[in-house]
Amino acid sequence: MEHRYEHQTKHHFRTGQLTVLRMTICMVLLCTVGVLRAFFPDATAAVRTTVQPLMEAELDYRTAISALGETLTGETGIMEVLGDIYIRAFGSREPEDVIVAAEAEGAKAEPESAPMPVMEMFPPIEEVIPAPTLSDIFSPQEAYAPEDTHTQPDEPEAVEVFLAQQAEFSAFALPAGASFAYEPLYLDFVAPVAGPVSSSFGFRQHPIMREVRFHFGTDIAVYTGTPFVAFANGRVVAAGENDSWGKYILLYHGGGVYTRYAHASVQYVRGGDTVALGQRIGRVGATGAATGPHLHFELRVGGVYRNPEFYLEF
Amino acid sequence: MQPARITISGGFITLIAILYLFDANNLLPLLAITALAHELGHVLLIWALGGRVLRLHLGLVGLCIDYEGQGIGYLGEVAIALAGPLANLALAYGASLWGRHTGGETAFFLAGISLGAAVFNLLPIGQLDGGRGLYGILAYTLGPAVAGRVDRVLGGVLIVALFAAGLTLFFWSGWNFTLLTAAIWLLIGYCKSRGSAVQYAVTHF
Repeated sequence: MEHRYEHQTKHHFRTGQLTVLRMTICMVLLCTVGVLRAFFPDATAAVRTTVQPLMEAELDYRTAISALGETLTGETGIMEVLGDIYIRAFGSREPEDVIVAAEAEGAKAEPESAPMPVMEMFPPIEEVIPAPTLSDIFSPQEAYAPEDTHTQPDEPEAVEVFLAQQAEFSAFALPAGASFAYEPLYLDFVAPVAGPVSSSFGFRQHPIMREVRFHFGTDIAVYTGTPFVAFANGRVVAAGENDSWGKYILLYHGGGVYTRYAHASVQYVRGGDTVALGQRIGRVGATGAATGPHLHFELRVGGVYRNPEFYLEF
Repeated sequence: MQPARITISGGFITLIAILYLFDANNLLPLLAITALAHELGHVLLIWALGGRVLRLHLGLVGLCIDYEGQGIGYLGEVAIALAGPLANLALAYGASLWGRHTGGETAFFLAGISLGAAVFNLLPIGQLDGGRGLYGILAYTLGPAVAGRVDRVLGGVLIVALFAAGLTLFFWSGWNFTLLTAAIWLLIGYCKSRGSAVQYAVTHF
């Protein structure tokens, strides 16, 4: 009996020692990480950037989670955001079909009433920030300096002019998720690039297909290499590349406002980056389904595509 | 009345260290607020039902509260289990209103995290609140033996399903390991509570 008792206390003592040892190791580990992050932020950031692309292969988690949180205010539909996240994480890997319909620029036959590209809210974050080429850096174009920022759009007459232009297409039903109505934006914004509009938002007679297509954005024709800037303060949801949009950037500005910049030659930002109004985020190009260099600029407010020209003069 | 003890395991400290190392989005403080609201929800309901909190344990497989209370009953346990996710939903709603008021993206991020925590914890898997709630309901209607068995099997099946989904995502998306990690984490908790499911569910929340 005595022997057993002794054995038990001895065993208990050793277990206690092990616990202390284990806790010490864990504490040292935690302190090491703390010290590393405090004194060697660059090294720990390097570790994170190697792991993060694996976690965020499909979408920027922070932006996705924030968008989810924002739905609770009731301004954006929770099912729409959940659908976006679900599709990006598990679903179709080919949003290109829909993009072609939205873009409506290629020679592919797509009905103008194609389903809304809900799934494009969080497109894949593919490789970004290629090294700028010499021609990009020594571009013949002057850098575009944003001059006047707007807070309240001041052109209700532009809406009337636009509606008059679109009157000839009144026989066509507006595709779901697009609107001709003017909706005030409660944020500071600026034109992404200055240049002539080569193709407007809305219905247009397709030059090759000889049929009416809907264009979800505004095309601004400028030379390859012209820098373009962020429409407003925000966060990069995606900076990726695909067949239709080429190199594109999708920004979220809060309050349900998204902007997209397509056919770029260079991207200066990547998914998760914070951008400031007027910050240079890329250079114009003709990547993807584009017949010539231009910036395809889209504005989406509360899940509805709106005419960017109401808000800006390009 | 002796005060409640707070115990922390080495696994928990390691988990925090790893999260802190890879945390690029300042997730950790928001996660702490979310967890605090969650546990506060449990504790407030335990007190409201006349129970006594014995211990708050911060472990590798999550936070758990040991409590005792006479006359709480199975339905009381269900209420206590659901109080955590409910607190998270309340926090999520509050944070989103706050974010709408101030336009702060961090508030929306907190709202999203809290909403996610509520949904995740409501999964009917043994050690999660959803599992405990389900156990309580089944124990009240069909008896604890059946409840323990159903809870055990359902939890196992769900973890396997999550694991399969995680593996699919992992290979399909090009090594996205987030869902797989969550499944493994759940599996560790499941194995740790093996064999004592009934007692565990009765005494641990």
